[in-house]
Amino acid sequence: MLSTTANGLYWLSRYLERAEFTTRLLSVQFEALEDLTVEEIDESWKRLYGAMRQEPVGGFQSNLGEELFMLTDSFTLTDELTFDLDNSNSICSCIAAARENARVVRNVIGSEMWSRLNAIHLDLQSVDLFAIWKDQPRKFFLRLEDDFRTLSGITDHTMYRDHGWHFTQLGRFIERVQMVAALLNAQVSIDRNSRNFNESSWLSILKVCEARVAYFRVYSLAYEPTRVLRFVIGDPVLPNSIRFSLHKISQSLSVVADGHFSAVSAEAVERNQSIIWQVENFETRMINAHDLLQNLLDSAYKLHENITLAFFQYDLENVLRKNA
Amino acid sequence: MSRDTVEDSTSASLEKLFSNYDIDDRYFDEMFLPNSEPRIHCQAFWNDFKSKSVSEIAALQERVERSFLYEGITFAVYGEQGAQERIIPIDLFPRIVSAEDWRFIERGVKQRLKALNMFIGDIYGARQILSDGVIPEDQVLGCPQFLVQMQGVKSPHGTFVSICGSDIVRTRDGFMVLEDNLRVPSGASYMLANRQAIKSSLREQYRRNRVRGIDNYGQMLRATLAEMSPSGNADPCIVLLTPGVYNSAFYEHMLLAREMGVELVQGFDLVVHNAFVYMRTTEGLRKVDVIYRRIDDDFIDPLVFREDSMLGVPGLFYVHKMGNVTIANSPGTGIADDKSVYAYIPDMIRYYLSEAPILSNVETYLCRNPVHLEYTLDNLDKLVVKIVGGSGGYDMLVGPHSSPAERAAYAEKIRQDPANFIAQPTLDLSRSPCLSENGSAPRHVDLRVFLLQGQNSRLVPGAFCRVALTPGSLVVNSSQGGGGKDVWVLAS
Repeated sequence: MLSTTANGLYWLSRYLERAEFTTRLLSVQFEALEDLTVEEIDESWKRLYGAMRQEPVGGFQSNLGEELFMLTDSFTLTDELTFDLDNSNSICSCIAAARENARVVRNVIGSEMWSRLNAIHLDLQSVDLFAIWKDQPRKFFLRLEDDFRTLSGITDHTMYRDHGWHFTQLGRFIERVQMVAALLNAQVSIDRNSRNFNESSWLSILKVCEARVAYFRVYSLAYEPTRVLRFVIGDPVLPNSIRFSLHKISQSLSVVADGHFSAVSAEAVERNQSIIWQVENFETRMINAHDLLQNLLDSAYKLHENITLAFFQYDLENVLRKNA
Repeated sequence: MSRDTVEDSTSASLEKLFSNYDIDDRYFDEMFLPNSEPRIHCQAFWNDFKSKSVSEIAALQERVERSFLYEGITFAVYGEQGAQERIIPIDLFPRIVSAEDWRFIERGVKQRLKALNMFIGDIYGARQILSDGVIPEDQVLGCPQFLVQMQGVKSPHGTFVSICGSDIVRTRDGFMVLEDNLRVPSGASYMLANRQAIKSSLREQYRRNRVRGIDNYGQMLRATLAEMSPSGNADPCIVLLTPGVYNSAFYEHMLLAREMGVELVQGFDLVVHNAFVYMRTTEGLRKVDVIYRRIDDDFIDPLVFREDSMLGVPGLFYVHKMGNVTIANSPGTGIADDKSVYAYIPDMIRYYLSEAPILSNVETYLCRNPVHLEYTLDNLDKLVVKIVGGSGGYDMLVGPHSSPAERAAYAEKIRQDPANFIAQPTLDLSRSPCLSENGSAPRHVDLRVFLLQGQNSRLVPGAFCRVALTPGSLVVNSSQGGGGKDVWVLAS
């Protein structure tokens, strides 16, 4: 497959995964917002920004000059994460970036995928924060979540399972590992600083990871941080778990790296195997959750670099020399 | 064609679609005879629509336009706010072409392209036509599109132009070719998109009229390009070279690549090595045999043409020249679609084929010729004046629609560089019904047909019909407020 096309598919799905995850973060945030205390609101925004690995414009300073984020700040923060095109991680920015990538690869994705994505983009163009604030913001994010699920469904249902599909999977699951690991890491840091844990925070995490019902079936009703961590990191069959995502990465990597000319692709395979081993053994080896999550973030980033170098932007001179 | 206007004028919406249709004897009407009866091949269509109301049709029209926006069939307009995406307006009523007219057009364009390919091969070869004095030498060799680097380059099957987009107009005197686009003709995607949109809106009518299908255009194009493979390989590696996603025709490049099932590449995806061209794939480099290029000559190869080109591939031209890759259309084909060389095409047909031209040319005055120049300057109010190497409808003067001041300014430009201008009589372009505020109204149309030539020639039985949506306007270019229509070529 043409490198540019593979790169386009990879980024298309990364941006979509990021937009979808951010949408779920906000939708869960709005569900919880009205019942929370001031401290909890502050904490939940910090967790949310932690998951995005960024800080709000102006840092963690409230509009009112208080130390804590208040409900009144939610308006600004939501705008920044949803519509602000200066924030390259906002939902609108991600959709626009996904759409630009989709344009480049439109000849290999189905028209169903394109038109669904284009419709999401066009619909977002026609609303702004004031419009959704007047109605219930949560409704807006729930509808958007549905749009993304439809789009993923179309993707899974229509895409030809050639290498292009595997680069799509790589983009999707590398992004997922990063988002989930960063979210968990943010919550672990918050708990560590307050030397306390808040049950509702861990419930929110399950909701963001679409894991609540499955969690009940495994652990019944107690939201305990270690159990939630164990579940979201290490469950083998939960689609949003880190372990599940790493296995998907492993499957797709083995297809595209099979017989590949570059040593970098073998490096990627090895790297992923090693992090899978850490995830599968983190309880028995008593690895500290924070360290593991940090390793996961580093590993995902390096995996991304390996994939880019092995398949999309490899050194031409090198390859030509070998060919000659 | 605003929907609001249609809905606001309630009185109009109750009227029948064709009650205000105006037939003017000056123009050939594609649908109606001078006595207001529909032409025979349009009768079935007419029977379906004559009793429909304006509002019924307006709803269909709106649906078609929305489907274009969501499908992303847009072109970029460069204005003060940067590039904006706009849809090319599409008119609901197809232009219907009888089987007999189509046979005539088909014979005509095939004859023309055969002569044009022979001409290009001759100019970059022995230059027989110049030494025989049929065309003045300086006019061809002095043409900016002439590429001295092409001298001696051979092309498979003598085909330099594999994709030809000819603009055909009709007046009361019959069909004429306005121009042949031999470099990077565009518009095929609109032909395909218009067909899809109209077919889904007018399903029954489409079936009833026995319209010839065009869905296999991608296959035809791929088969044609495969025939152009230098190695004679039965399954060559074909790619489509685009300037990129910001090009206004990117949608078309994408669609054609998809329909052909070939890779869509940009310059940076290709690399020349040891006299072959390769593309960068996830599995390493892969040799490319045929490049359907959608970038201009100037940008193909920065080592040979424009040094500052970021769109092309260094060394590509020499691979082409050595016959290790085929660039289609070949660089340098612009010598045959130069507007002043155009005037000699009937002579070329007689010279190379010993046949009488089937399709006529539009009478053309070459301002380089002092007699023609004088005539042009004296008759600016009646003529259309164009820049020789221009395209896209920019910078032309439509005499009858211009003010005396505009004519004076344009005359000055002509005097400064006469050889750069040609003049043609203002053509009474035929008209075809379009949906407007008051129901159906006649608008001027042309027809771009796509003829493919590899070893064999293939004409897709359809076309992109451009329509001047502004009442009375004769300019059909999409950059100048033109729109499109589906074209129904009837099977019998």
